[in-house]
Order: sequence, then structure tokens, then C-alpha cells
Amino acid sequence: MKKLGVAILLALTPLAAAQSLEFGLWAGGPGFSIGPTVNLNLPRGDWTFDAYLRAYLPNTAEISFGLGARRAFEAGPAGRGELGARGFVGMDAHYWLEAYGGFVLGKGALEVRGGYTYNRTPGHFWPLAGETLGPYARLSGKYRIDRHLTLLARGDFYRGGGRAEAALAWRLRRQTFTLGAGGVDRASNAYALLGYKTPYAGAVVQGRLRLGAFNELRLDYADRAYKAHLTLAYPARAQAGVAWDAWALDAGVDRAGYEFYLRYTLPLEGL
Amino acid sequence: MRRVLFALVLLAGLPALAVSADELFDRVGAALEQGPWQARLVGRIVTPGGDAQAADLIVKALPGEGIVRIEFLRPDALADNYVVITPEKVYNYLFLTNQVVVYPRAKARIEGLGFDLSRMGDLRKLGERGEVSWEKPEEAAYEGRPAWRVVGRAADPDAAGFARVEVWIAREPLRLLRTAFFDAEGRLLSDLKWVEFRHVRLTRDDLISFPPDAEWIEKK
Repeated sequence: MKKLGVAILLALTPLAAAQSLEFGLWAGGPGFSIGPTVNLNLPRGDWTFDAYLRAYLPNTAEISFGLGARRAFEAGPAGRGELGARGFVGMDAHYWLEAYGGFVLGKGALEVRGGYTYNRTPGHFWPLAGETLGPYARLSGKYRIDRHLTLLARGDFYRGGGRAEAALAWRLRRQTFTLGAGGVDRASNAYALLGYKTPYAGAVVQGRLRLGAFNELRLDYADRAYKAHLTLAYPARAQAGVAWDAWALDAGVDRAGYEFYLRYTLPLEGL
Repeated sequence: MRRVLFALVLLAGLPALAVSADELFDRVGAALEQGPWQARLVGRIVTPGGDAQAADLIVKALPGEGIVRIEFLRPDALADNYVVITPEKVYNYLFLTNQVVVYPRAKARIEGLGFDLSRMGDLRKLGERGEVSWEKPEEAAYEGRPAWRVVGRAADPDAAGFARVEVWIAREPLRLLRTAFFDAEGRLLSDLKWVEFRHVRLTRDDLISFPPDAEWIEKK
């Protein structure tokens, strides 16, 4: 009995130093599945460690575990950087590996994320993580030409497809106008990007419209208490999310199914 | 409140307080503590990469609560970034990624300006430990105004990051006018002039405010 007590104490040791524990409840289909999630966040100076657990009901063979580590590099007002990796493995031996690197320094920012999943999508291992199979890469870059103009570029590449776009954001007083173009798979599958962001009554409201070979309208709202987003796309897809205090709720529906993901972050600050 | 003053002093490039200059610096500090104020600092700073760049900063302070907000207008690489220093935390806002990085005050690392703001709490100790020795303030004229000029020399320039610092203080009203850092070869590292100083109405919310859509990153 004493050994068991020691083992339990050892198992709980990370909790004592953890910053937060996020509990989530995912539900989705086709059909009906439930996937409770737990994410333990453990910062240690410039390092941050994460442990993930995703249960999956009724098919318990799809339960997955994950570990992650990130290292931050701080440069004060000049910028910061972060490198990290995480990996998940399921009870059925499927896995997902992902590496991440991002930095902002002065006038430039670059974020690169790449990974590989074996047989299951990232979203299967962790909600809202994407629905690609095999290798994938996501890049995002920003460069400030001057105080008013910022060049934006991004690309999503995965087995069987990809999308790239470039845009110019023009800040006029406190409003930002964005104009850009992108292509799906190849340049001839082009689409246009229009964006607008403005402060409004103590909040920030942003809209982005992509029209052409890729059709999507995304609206974002943020004030001191709430952050919300709504995405409507064609072919038919809709996503919405809201975050407040320690809570967040996301919902999405497309031709393949639907999902809800509710989560609550419990601050621990070292028990 | 003294920490706030230390932050401002470092921002302007003043690295230490020594016995001969102590009274003068204390009187400058007392003048700054009279109420909320705003100042603009212009000049040049040398980035960690070694480039000298034009600097233009707006400093807002709430002395009663020990809060300072430093907004960067130039160099372009820092424009629209800002730092908020409170007694408990340091908030570092990065415009390009729309992120607020929050540090406990004791662990704040606000380097990247050619000098390290995190040493603000050690400024007085720098002088006390003999890392910088201050010469006796001398009367001088600064742009036609009666002023004090105080020169400090770092005992270990490699450790301090500079070899010599010069501070100009207006005699009436008593306030900082200019600070300049130099390396061992006499090359200018930073040179900031205090301009447009005025007492203004400021609240805590005016200084500790961030874009509501910013991403928050809390460092422990």
C-alpha cells in the first residue's frame, strides 16, 4: 500500500509544477463519438512541456497519448522565437509527429510547421488539428515594408494538394485593409483575398473573404472578455468558435461530418 | 516608485548611481514622482547586431503606481511594439505577431535595444558595487541651458556593455536632458535626448492596455 502511495505521488509530481490543466470534451461524427481530452501544460523557464491524453468512445482502441516540448527564445521588444515538437501515438499504433519553428525579429516573422501522420489525421489525435494524411507543411511569413505596409505570405502543403497565397496589408490609422491572391494546387486555380480589420467600441473586428477557386468568409471578433470567430466556406463548410475566461467552444460541420469541442483550462500555478 | 525611475534612467542610458551623483539623481527622481508624465526620447541606439539606428520612443509613467509604458516609434524594426513595466510584471507587445509576452518582473528580459532593461533593479547596486564610478557632477551648458553633466565609467566595460556614460541634467527645472553611452574606443553606443516632457493625466488602464485580439503568452 505504501508503494502504491509513493507511485501515485510520483505520478502527480508534474501537477505540482504545472501551470495549467485543460480538460476538453469532443463530440463528433458521422455517427456519434465522444473524445474527452486532457492537456497538462508544464512551463520550465524557457521550456514548456505538454502531455496529452485523448480518450475515444466507443472505440477505445483509438485512445491516443502525446508529449510535446517547446523552447522559447526571447529578445524583448525586438522579437522572440520558439522551436518545438510533439508526438502522439494511438493504442492502435498509429502515430502523428509534428515539429514547429517560429520567430519574429524586427520587421520579419516566419512560422513553419511540418509533420507526418500515419493512417490517421492529426484531428483524430487532437481536436481541431487538421484533416490531412501523411506528410504536411505549413508556412506563414510576414514582412513589414514600413509602418503602413506589411507583406503576408502563407502556404499549406500536404499529400495530394496544397494552397499558397500572398497579400499586402495596408494600415491606415487604426484600420487595416488587406488585398491578396492565392492558388489551390496550381496558379491557374486562383482566388482573391480581401480583408478588413478595425477597432469598434472597444473591440477588434476583422473580416477576410477569399473568392475564386477557394471560397471562404471568416469573421473574427475580440474584446476584453470574448474572442469569437465564424467561418463559412463553399464547398459547404462552417466553423464557429468562442472563448471566454477559461472556457472555449468550437463547432464545425462539413460534408464529412460534424464536431463540437468544449474545453476548460484549470490554472494550477503549482499546487 | 524608485524602480520606475530606475527603468527610465536605464531607458535613457543611465547605468548607475554613485555617491557623488546620488543626490542629483535622487532630486531628478523626486521631480519625476510629482505626477503622471509623458516624455519623448529621440536619438540613436546601437542594435545587438551593431547597427546604429535612429530611435524615437514615447515614455508614459504613472509614478504613484510604479507603472511605465514605453512605446517605440523608431527604429522601424521596433515600431509599434511597446513594453509595459509594472511592479509585478513586464508586458512586451509585439506588433507584427500581435502577441503579448508577460514575464514576472523578477525574470523580465527586455534586451534587444543595445542594453538590457532587466538590469533596472540593479542600477543603484551597480554604483554601490563599484561597477560604475561616477565623477563629481560638473556645471555645463546644454543647448544654451544651464545643466549638470555627470560622467560615469564602467570598471569592467565587457561586463557592463559600455565603458563610459554621460548624463546631462537641466538645473531648472531639474530633469534629464540627455544620456549617451560609449564603448572603450569612444564609439557612441546610444544617445537619447529627452524631449517633449510634460505632466499629463494618465490612468492605470491607459498604460496597461493591449489590443483585445492579441495572443497572450505567459512566462513563469
